[in-house]
Amino acid sequence: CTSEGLKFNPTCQRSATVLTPVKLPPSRDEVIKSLVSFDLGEEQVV
Amino acid sequence: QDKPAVNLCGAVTWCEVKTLLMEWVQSMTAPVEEDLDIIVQYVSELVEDKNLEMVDLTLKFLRRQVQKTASKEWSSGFQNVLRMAQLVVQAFYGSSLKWEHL
Amino acid sequence: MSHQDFSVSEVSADILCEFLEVAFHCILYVRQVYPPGVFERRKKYNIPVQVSRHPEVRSYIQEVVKSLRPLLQNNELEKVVLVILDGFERPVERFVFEITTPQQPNISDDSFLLRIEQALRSFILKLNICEALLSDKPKDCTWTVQVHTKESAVDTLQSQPLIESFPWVQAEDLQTSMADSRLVPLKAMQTGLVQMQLYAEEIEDKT
Repeated sequence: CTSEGLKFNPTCQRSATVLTPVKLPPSRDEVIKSLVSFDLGEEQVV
Repeated sequence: QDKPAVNLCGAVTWCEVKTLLMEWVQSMTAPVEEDLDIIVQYVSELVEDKNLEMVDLTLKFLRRQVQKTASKEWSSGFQNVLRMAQLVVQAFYGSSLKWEHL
Repeated sequence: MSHQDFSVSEVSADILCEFLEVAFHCILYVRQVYPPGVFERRKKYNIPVQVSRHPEVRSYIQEVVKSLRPLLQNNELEKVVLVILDGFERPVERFVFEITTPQQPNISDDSFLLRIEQALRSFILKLNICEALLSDKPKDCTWTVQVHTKESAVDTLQSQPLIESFPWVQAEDLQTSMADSRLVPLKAMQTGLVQMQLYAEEIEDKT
């Protein structure tokens, strides 16, 4: 083996389909802002 | 249908593997090539078996045992095992293991 | 598939979905993607776990996991990845759940549920301390989930009623590649029902 590493491409490395949600999770800022108003009792946390 | 569990000369559980590694390092003043090859083979099988945790445990434990010997031959033998293991991980995952050289 | 096979795959899908939900909350807490005040302590697998109390974070994770259930049942899921992205939407860390369903799932052993719970507990415990194993991440990170699937998974997802409100698309190369990354193995489990390993991957320079 050379320092360049093994060059073979075993089945484990076959390219899979990689999927991701279109919708994004809430951002840190959004969460902090809305929790402040929750905690002040403006809305009930479900 | 059941294939045998990945093993190091019959040792399967972490307890068994640790015991074997410790006995091996303590019983030889220097490692022989064939034994080092067996370790590398074991690590390769673990990688293939999707058990990086065991790879990590094995390498770190082996390093600790080798450090205790303060032997140049053992240190060099371990470096070779580590290098080969990293090549196998690299080939399967495209990245090598995070490793701190102590 | 016989009725027996169907229930076994349902059971393992349920177990994994429940676990992934807990694990996602755990990672978001441990890596401080959201501040600690956003989380509350609950009990799961007989240990305390941190769960987000923000309804949108909770429902987002629930929607992700609900989408994954049919893929798990059909054995079409290879990896589930929680990716942490920096301010430039560059992946800096990711937590990879690599899942394999045994060819012949075996639940003949009465204690299998107990052993699975023990194994999953050890995954969460390891996640709880993984901060010590990883380098600091930049502030203001976001996160996303990616799933590595068989091609047939696209059809499975499209045929779900949930797809209308929670669609999935092919991930961009920019968000799936991490140059110069290193693997940090966390946990592996091999039971008759589920085989899974969890590892983290991080880039060398996160700044």
